[in-house]
Formats: sequence, structure tokens, C-alpha cells
Amino acid sequence: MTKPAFQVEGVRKRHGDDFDLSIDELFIERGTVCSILGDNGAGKTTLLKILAGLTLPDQGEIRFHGRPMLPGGAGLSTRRRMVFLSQRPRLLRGTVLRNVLFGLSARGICGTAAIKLAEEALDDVGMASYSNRKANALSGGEAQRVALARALCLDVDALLLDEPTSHVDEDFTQGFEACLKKLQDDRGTTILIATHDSDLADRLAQQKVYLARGRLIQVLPTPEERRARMAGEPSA
Amino acid sequence: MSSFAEAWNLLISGDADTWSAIFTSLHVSLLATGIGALIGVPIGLLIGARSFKGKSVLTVFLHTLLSVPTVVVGLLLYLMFTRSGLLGGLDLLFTPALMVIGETILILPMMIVFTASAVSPLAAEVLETTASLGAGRLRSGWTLLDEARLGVLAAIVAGFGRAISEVGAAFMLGGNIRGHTRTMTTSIALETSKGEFGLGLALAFILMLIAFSINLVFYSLQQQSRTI
Repeated sequence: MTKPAFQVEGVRKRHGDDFDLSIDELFIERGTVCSILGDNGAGKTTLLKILAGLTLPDQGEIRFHGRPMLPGGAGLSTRRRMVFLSQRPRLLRGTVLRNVLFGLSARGICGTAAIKLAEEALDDVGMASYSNRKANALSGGEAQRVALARALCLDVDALLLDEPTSHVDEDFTQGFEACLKKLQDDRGTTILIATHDSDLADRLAQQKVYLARGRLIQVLPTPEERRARMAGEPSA
Repeated sequence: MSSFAEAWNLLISGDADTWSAIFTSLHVSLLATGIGALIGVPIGLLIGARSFKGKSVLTVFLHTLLSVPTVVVGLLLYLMFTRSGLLGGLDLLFTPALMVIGETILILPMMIVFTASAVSPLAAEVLETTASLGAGRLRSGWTLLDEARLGVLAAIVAGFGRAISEVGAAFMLGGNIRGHTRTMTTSIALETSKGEFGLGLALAFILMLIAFSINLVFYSLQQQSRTI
């Protein structure tokens, strides 16, 4: 039976003067790759940040693995089970390695074990030789790879990626996709990707969520298909 | 030139009054800067990083406090700590301790405002990054300070600059007692009122030299941290 990673109920969020993000119901399956598609300004990033617990909705409830997402310190243990990667990630001062170690250190993983995990993650994104470089001297694409390594080295239940391939070349995109598939197969990580690249979504996603001006316009598989599958019936 | 020579002579001859004024100035200013930083930097961090009701009013109020004349702070504390005052029983009037309290109160708004200004433009991005990586509030706050370290250092340097150059509160709260609460600035004011311009100029030169040296150290620290 399919278990939920994220459940969204009656979420409303004012988004500047443009529109309100308004989602009555959304169910994201555990262990799947789900792409959130839509044009610029559709509300993809806002939804992703709400799911990551970084932005509080004005109304409604988010559940992650069945537990309500709480604001502030009360929600910290839930937030540590996921990681959000921004479209324009900020690297902190210091070396590349220091950046990758940050999330591990926040989870109490330090010393040689942490360095090994960080170096493996840097290797996965082709940045192993950059470990002692200053983070603020990297190009946009390099910074995005380091930020990805910073997210990948954390053993989390969900990875939330906002336009992850927007500043990287095609070669890296292929390696990145392989990396995500491996993560999904080996660890059963739920992966959410906000993107306007429908080809990327076709290649990776088992679930697709389409947004326009803050509204859900289509979810694939449809809720009916999902319920039918959960009940063990053939979908229409 | 004779003033510079006199200043030099006062320094190398180990003139007790001169060295006592230098020591008192440094002692009071550095202590006030340290206490001011311990209180002001965290408050500035909170104000700069968070959104809350009344933030604009509080910011305007703090900016207003930047312009408060030092003698006003001196007067208010004098009235509180004089024998018949609310805190007169503490017997702190005309002691270096009350001068430290006065200078701290004087530089606190500056530390808060400058720290808030330094962290504010970075707060949203840095705090989102740290939160998304699972950091708690304390680690996130420390990381934000670390990212804004140049501005925070500038706040501390500015606070020290105001404390060491201040004369009004130091005069009223310390009483300009020779060898005890006399600072370089109160000494300059006294010597000038006596018509001893040479000694006043000499002390002014020493004051500028000390301020320059300490700013040079802070500047080197800033340059070092800029390259890390």
C-alpha cells in the first residue's frame, strides 16, 4: 500500500500581490520522484518551501510521514529529515568542504566520519578536487554542484530541489539524474523537483503536479488512479 | 611641533598623570565596548534578522538614541546615582565602574543599529540556507553573525571610537578625579580650561595615536576575515 511522504490539506499562502497559493489537497507518495511543473511565478518555489517547513502557510496543514509540520524549534526534528536546495543556493564563507560539512554538523555528525561523507558527496557531483577551495570564489554552476553535494551527503527521507539543473551543463545533468535515481533506489528517498523542464520531469518523475497562478491544475496520477491503486484495483 | 615633543616627553618620562589618564581611558572604553558588544550584538542580530510588530518604530527610536548628547546620558545617570538618587546606595558616583556603565549605555544603540544593519540584508538568504540544512536557532544565528562579520566588527569599532572620544558623561559620572577617574578627554578639557593648551594638545595627540592603533588592529582583522 502506498504511504504518503507529504500530505497537504487546505493550504493557503499569500504570494506578494500576485496571487494566493491555494491547494485543497495534495498527496505525494513516499519514495517517488515527484516533479512540480509550471511557468515562472506559478508558485512552485512557494509550495516547495512550505513543504520543506521553511515558509509557514497562512492556513492549512502539512504532514510529513504522517506527522504535522510544526513551526520553529518544535518542527526541527521533522525538518532534519529533509533538505531543500534553492535555485540560487547560498554558500557560506570558508572552504567548499566546510560548506558540505555544515548540514552534517547540524545533525551531530562530526570528525572523520563527516569528512568521509562530505568527500564522497563532492565526488558524486564531480567536485572532489575543489574541497579546499574558497566557496565564494566558485562560479554559479560550481556553487550549485557544491550545494547539491551539501544536500546529498545528508541521509534524509526527502530531497526538495528547486530548479536544480538551471545553472549546470548537460553533462552534469545526466550524472545528476543518475545520482537521483540511485538515491531513490538505494535509500528510498522521496524527491521533489520544482522545474519548468518537462523533459526532465518525463525522464525522472513517477508523479507530476502542475501549477498555474497558485492553483493545482493537474496531478498525475490522478487522485482517483491513486486511490484505485491503493485499493488494489486496476486504474481506469 | 612643541606639542608633539611635549607629548613624546610625557610618554617616555613615564609621567604618572598622563599614564593614569591613558590607562583609565583604555580601561573604561574597552570594558564598555566589551559589555556593549555582548549585549548589543545579540539584540542587533535579533532586530536585523526577525520581522515583528513595531520593528520600524523601534528602529527609528534606536536611531534617535544615536543622537542623544553624551551629557544627557551623564545627567540622567548622575541623578540616579547621586546620594539622594534611586541607586545612590550603590555608591558608584565618581568611580570608573559608573563611567563604564555610562559609556556602555551611550554606545549600546550604536552597536545595536550597526549590527542590525549588517545582518539585515543577509538574513533571509542565510537563515533559509541554515534552516534548510537542519540548523537550530542558535547555530543559524551564529552563522548569520559570521557571514556579516565585517559589519559587526565595524559596529564594535564604532562603539569603541565613541567610548574613547566621549567627554561629557565621563566628566559628570567620573568627576575627573586625578589618578582615579581622569581620562584623556576629561584631562584635555581641564587643561584647556586652565589655558594649558600644550598639554591639552599633547594628550589629544596621544588619544589620536591610541585610537589609530586600535583601529589599525581592527582593520587588519577585517582584512584577514575578508580573505577567509
